[in-house]
Formats: sequence, structure tokens, C-alpha cells
Amino acid sequence: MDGEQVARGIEAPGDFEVVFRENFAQVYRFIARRVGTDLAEDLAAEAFATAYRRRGSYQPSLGSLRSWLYGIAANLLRTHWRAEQQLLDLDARLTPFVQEPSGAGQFSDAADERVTAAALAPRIAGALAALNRDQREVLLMHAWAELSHEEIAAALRIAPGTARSRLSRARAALRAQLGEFDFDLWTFKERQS
Amino acid sequence: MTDEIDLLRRFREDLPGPGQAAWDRAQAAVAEARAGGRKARRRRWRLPSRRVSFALGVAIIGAVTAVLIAGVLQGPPALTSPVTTAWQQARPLPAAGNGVPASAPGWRLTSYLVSRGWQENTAGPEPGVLTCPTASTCYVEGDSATSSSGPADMNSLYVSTDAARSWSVLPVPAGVTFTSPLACLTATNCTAGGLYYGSQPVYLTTASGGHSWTVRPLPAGVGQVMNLDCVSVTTCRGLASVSGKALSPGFSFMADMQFVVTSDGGRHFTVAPFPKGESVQSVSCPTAYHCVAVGVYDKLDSGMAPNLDHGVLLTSDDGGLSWRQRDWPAGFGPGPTPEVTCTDASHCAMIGFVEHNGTVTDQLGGVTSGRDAVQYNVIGFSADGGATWTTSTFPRTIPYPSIDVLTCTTSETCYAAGGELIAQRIGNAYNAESAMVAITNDAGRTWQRVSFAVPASVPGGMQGDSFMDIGQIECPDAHACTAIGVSDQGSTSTPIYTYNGHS
Repeated sequence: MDGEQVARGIEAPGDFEVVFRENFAQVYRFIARRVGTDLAEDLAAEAFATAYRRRGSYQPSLGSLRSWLYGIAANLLRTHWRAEQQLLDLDARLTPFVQEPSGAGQFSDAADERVTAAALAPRIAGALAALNRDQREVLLMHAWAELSHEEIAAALRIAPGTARSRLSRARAALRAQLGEFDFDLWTFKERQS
Repeated sequence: MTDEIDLLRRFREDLPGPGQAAWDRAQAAVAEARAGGRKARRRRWRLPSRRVSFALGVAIIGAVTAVLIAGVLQGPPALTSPVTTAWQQARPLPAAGNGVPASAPGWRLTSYLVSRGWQENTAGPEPGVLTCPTASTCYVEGDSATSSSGPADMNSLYVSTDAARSWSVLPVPAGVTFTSPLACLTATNCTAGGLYYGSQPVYLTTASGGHSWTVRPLPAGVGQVMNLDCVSVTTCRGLASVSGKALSPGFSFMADMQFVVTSDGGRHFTVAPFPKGESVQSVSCPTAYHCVAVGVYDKLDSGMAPNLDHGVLLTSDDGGLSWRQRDWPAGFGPGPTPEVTCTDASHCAMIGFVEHNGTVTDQLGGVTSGRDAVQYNVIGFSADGGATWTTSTFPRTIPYPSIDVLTCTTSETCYAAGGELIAQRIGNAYNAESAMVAITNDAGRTWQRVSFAVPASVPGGMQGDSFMDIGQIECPDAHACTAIGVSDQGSTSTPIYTYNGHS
């Protein structure tokens, strides 16, 4: 949508069609990454039906359209936090974490990084599962929805400073859960106990 | 440079986007929402006027439909006269086990207040509003709603009569939510503002320690009572919001505030507005005539938040009927939790807020940097009735304090409670902050810190944030205080800390 259209809101059904076409795939993926594809179909549909019903309440001055949509999605996801937790627990147990050999540094291109990341997925799932819900919410909005501090604040209706500090704490907590990750070797180094 | 966010972005990255079925499903849901909207409008507006001259049968159907519509459109119940509820027993909550001594003599983590559905707030008052009229009797207003979003409804009331060791649930009149903390003249005589079925401002009084309540509709123009202080059973004064709306999303500032006084138990009020464009958020009247008020300007920066670095300071010498503008002190702002408290006509203290560009690193290695990234609280002290102020900064043993509440028992002794940037591990989660009380006995020249270690086991449902911060502290005398943790979203309990300097 162009800036002028966003500024005047999305009350006209035609405007909403544009919003739907441009944002549905990203919002669906965000939901699917959090609670799985089975639930995502229902929740993404519900998110946009809710957005349509509440389109008159969208105020461009209070935040971006994306943050408003992800805020609606976040509200729906909150009622499915058990599903999210179960999925993370499941991912964490699927395959035991495999420590990469010291030669893991040879994985340098993007494809190899993806393969390694998949191998590390149980460890990341376990770390995410250990975060509290507030921390996980801001972290995933930042990492997966690519929302800025200000957009997260608008989505969750919290102060920008709160969003910033909550995200900072969430990142710190994630790092603490993960232990040390060496981005040069692209593997975890366990902390000395 | 890659970091944990990059690592996270690759997690479940290969998950496919929506298939055709997902698109179809969503389009159908939106279409259904659209059709639902059209049907609703047709039912509400077309039937009565266009078909009234048709055949009798059609007219009857129209009339019946109109009655049904009127029923649907009818608003929430309204109170037209005072109602007094029957005396009801309190329901004891399960005891939470033995308390845990804190870092300083006399302080303990005494108990946990365990309830259903504590919610983190996004607008309106903090959950778990504490009032302790005596060292042994405390009340907590809380939220029992199961809603996972939106502001908390303060529709629960808890009481302890054994210095916060055990708690019971008191009855709250049907349809009532509290909008102000309780103002208690004695252990059993309390007053509060409230809303009746979420929309009608009411005035609540109890003479039985919350077992029975009188709910009185407030006169038009008073607004939603946000704060009260009572000097007798019938004479109370405080702040009310005419619109009952928040000033901006994400902050607990209320808009359209005015000073209200009643001397007949809430039947009639005198209303004194504050200067236009100023939203007073806290007022303290240590005598019948002298009052000090602090707040923020209505104008929002970037349409999002009020100016937290420069606030509104007013004093009154006629009991709040007229207000004199004072210069806001240099060196700090009102911050997100402006609060002033005065112990006599001369001595006052307020929470101040400092922010500037820079970098803050917590003990877990988390870094916050950039514009206004460095944020902490200081305490302002006044010895001339709020006209001028000096700044008291906390010692380095309290890193980056975030003060939520301030209470002073004498002109020299004050308790500031909140969180500090000291990391801790709670169960499987790490938190960068810890709950803390700072105490001064010399009007801010020196401070002592009290910290609270997290016990090895905490009640089920309690999340880390409950131990990160203290949201309320009440000190009915200089040597007895009770404090309550800020509970996290979804947490079902919150810690209660006590201080007994007499023991």
C-alpha cells in the first residue's frame, strides 16, 4: 500500500483486499513457525477476519500496519501458548543435539549453514522453550516478523522503552540458554562449569 | 556480524508458506466477516422505519423485531441509587509455606498471593494494588480475568490480617471493578473508586473490612476515580479522570485528570480542574490545605508518548481548589511512574527519571544501546513544600534502578521499591533484573539496599518476572512494611515481602 493510503486507514473493503494480499503470507508464516502449520491455517484466517472486523480501529499514527496485524496475530497466539510450548518441546527432543566436530569451520556457504542450523534446531528449540512468554514474544517478533522496537511496542501496546529492554533481556536470556555459540565455527562451545 | 538473532532466523526457516487451502480459508473467513457486518447493519436500521405502514402482520413482526433489537442494543446495567451488599465470608487461600529471610535484618519473603489469572497490564493500574492500613492488615486488589490480552480488570480483592502471612478472597460487588487503590482510614473502613459493568463510575465504601460494600453512583462530571486519600470516613480527596481514557498506549498515564473532594461520603463532590494540557498523575496532601501534584504534559512526542524528561509540578494551599504552577526541577523528568509523597507541609519526595544516549550492559551480556538507552530513577526531595527540589541518586550497589513506588514514613525515612539490573536465574529462565527495596533514613543522603534471593522452589504458575520487580510497598509505620512483586503475564501468583523492624 502506498503511504497516502495507509495514512487514511484501511476502512474501505478494497483497501483491505490489498492489505490481505500483501501481508497474509508473512503473517501465516510467522504463525506457522510458532505453532505449526495445522493451527496456522485456522489462526491466520482468524487473524485477518479479526483485522477486517476491527479495521476501523486501525490508527496509522499509533503504529505501522504490519505492527497492527502482528499484534492481532500475537493476541490469537497467546491463547495457544501450550501448542507453541509443546511444539518447541517436541523439536527439542526430536534429535539429540550433535556437537559439530572442530572442523565445522569449513561450513562457510549459506547452504551448509542451513544444514548446520537444522542440526542445531533442537538446541534452539530448547532454548526458546525455556524463555518466558513475554521474552519469546518480543524475540520472535523481532527475529521472524522483523519488527523494529517501535513496531513491537505498537503491536503489543507497550512503551517503546519497554519493548527495547524486554528484547534486550530476551536476547541475553537466549544467549544464556544457548551457551556460547561460535559464529566463526558455526557451532556451540559449551561453557566451562 | 552474525548473532543469536541470525541463528534464530534460520530456525524453522524452511517451513513452507501458505498453500492454496490456507489462502482460500482466509479469504472465506474475511468474506464471512464482511457479510456479517452487512447483515448487522441491515437488522439494526432498516426494519422499523421502512415497513411500519405495511400490513398489520408485517407491522407486528416489525414491532417484535424492534423489541429484540432494543434488547440487543441495550447497554450494560446502570446504577441509579446506592446499593449495599450483604455481609459475606472471606474465602481463605491455600497457605504457601514458610517464608524466606532476605538480605537485611527484619525483611522476609513472607508468602505468595496465589490467585487465578494475574495479568501483566498494558493500560490502567498495576495489577496487585496493595493497601496496608495497619502493620497486620493488608488488602490487595487484583485481576481474576482470564483474558489473555487487554487491560486487567481489578475485580478481585484479597485480605490478610496476619501481617501478610496468609490471604483470603473477599467478595466484590457484582459488576464492579476497582479503578483506584483502597483508601483505608482504619483496618476496616475503606473507600475506593470503581466502575460498574465497565462503564459507570461508582464510589465504594466498606465499614466491615470488605465483607460488605456500599456502591454509590458518582455524580455526573466527577469521572473515574483513580486515587483517593481519606481524612475521615466521609471526607476524601483525590484524582479522577473525566474520560477514563489512557493518555497514550503503553503507559499507565490517565488523561483528563481533575482533583475531586467529597465531604459526605461520595454523595457530592467539589471538582477542581488542573491547567489545560497537563495530566496530573499523583497528588499528595499532607495537611488539609497544602497539596503537591506531579504529572506529564498531554502533548505526545511522535504521537506515541508524553515527554518523560520534563513534567508538570503544581502546589496548592487551599486544599486543591486552585493550583500554582511550579518550575519542574532540573536534573530529572517525571518518567513513566510519576509519584509524589509528602509527610508534612514542608517535606516531600518524588520519583525522578533520567535517560540519555549510551549503552547499558547487563550481567548476562545483554546490551541496550542507542537513543535514550540509559534509563534509571532518582529520588527528588523537597524541604519547602514542593517549591524546590534536590536530587538523590542511588549508590552504585543499586545499578540502573527502576523505581515503581515510593513511600515516606517521616521527613527523613523513605522506602523506594522496584527493580535493579542484577541478573538472576529462576527455574529454567534467566532474568537480567532483581527485585529491590532502597531505604534512606536521612532524606536521601545515603541509601541502604535490600535484595531478595529467589527461593529454590516457587509456587506453580509463578514466572520469572514476579521476582524481577516490586510493584507496591506500604509502610503503615516507620518499622513495618509490606511489598508485593509485579506479576508476569500468565503468572498465577506473586511474592509478598514484609519488613518488621520491631522484631
